Amino acid sequence: MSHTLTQVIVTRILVVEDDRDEAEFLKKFLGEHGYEVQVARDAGQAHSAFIMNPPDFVLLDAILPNDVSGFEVCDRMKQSHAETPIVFLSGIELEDARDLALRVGADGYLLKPYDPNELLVMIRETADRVWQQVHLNADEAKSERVRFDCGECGRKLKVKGSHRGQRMNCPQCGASLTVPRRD
Amino acid sequence: MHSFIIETGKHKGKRLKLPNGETIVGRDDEAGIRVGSKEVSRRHCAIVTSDDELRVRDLGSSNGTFVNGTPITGETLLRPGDLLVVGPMGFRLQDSSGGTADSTGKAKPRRSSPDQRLSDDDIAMLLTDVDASASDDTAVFGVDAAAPEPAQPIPVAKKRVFKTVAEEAADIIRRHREAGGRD
Repeated sequence: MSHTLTQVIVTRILVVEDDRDEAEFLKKFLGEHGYEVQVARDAGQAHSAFIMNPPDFVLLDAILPNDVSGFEVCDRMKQSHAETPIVFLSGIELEDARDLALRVGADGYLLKPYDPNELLVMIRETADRVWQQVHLNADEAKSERVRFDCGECGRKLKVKGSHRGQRMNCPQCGASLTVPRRD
Repeated sequence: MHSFIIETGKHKGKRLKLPNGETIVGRDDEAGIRVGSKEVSRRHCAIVTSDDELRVRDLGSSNGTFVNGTPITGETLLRPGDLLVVGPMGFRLQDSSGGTADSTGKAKPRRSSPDQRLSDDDIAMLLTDVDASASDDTAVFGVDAAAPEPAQPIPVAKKRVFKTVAEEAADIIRRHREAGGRD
């Protein structure tokens, strides 16, 4: 039996979703397509599941209970496991939400309500793309330079690509900054 | 047909004709008026024109849309001479005769320079080089040779600064909920 790249890469999906109906639907739907699904209801459960039982892929709601959003969950997950693909499933249409999701390292952003088949395609394509980025473009990523502006004083900054996602202080005003994970 | 005079950047002084209907201003490749600045959201604001009026509404942009220096909250009617500011760019609405008017409604004479209309290609490419001609965080407005300088300085669209992902996420979620979005 032959496997596509994605079938080999993605077996276990962590679904971070506080809406029970939505979570149950995803568990059933993805299960029918061969994925093993674990559900977390909030940020705390998500981090525990992520550490205890590392997933191959994360589907993440943006708005979660207990005042910790999906954006913060994504930021933390990517700091420890940049190679795990994360796609937001979100009802927030604002462009700023997409921007922030990308800046904290998300690999995709799918707006609710979505076509389940579109989700399947997105999982496959995203997993393949991230795998290739991690394994085939690693050397290129190390030599790149990240350019961004200090949000406080506006100074233009340039740092090594290997510093993406790390925190630093602006050399001009001292503001605490995070090097964008994406341009 | 309504038209703007571009007040900043490479296309300063050129006339931008607006078709009836809705035109999106933003960084998005599919925006009708594309502004290539990080201060501009992908879908920043919408300009809605009909035969007898032109209105603008913000689409939940990060840095806001300004008319005569005031951030707009709802759909706002523009009158000839009004200045629309999107990120570092300024667009002044012309009256139907091709001249502009100041905030008192007094018409300014038509520009003495030859009419410089933009082609469709120009519009599609509009301002993608804006960062090369305007600083990243300052709107620089030129002085129309045929018009007096505005009595009040034009306020600059101030970039919102967030110190943490949590703070930015909370702001996005708040705006999403205020707009009637569901969790």
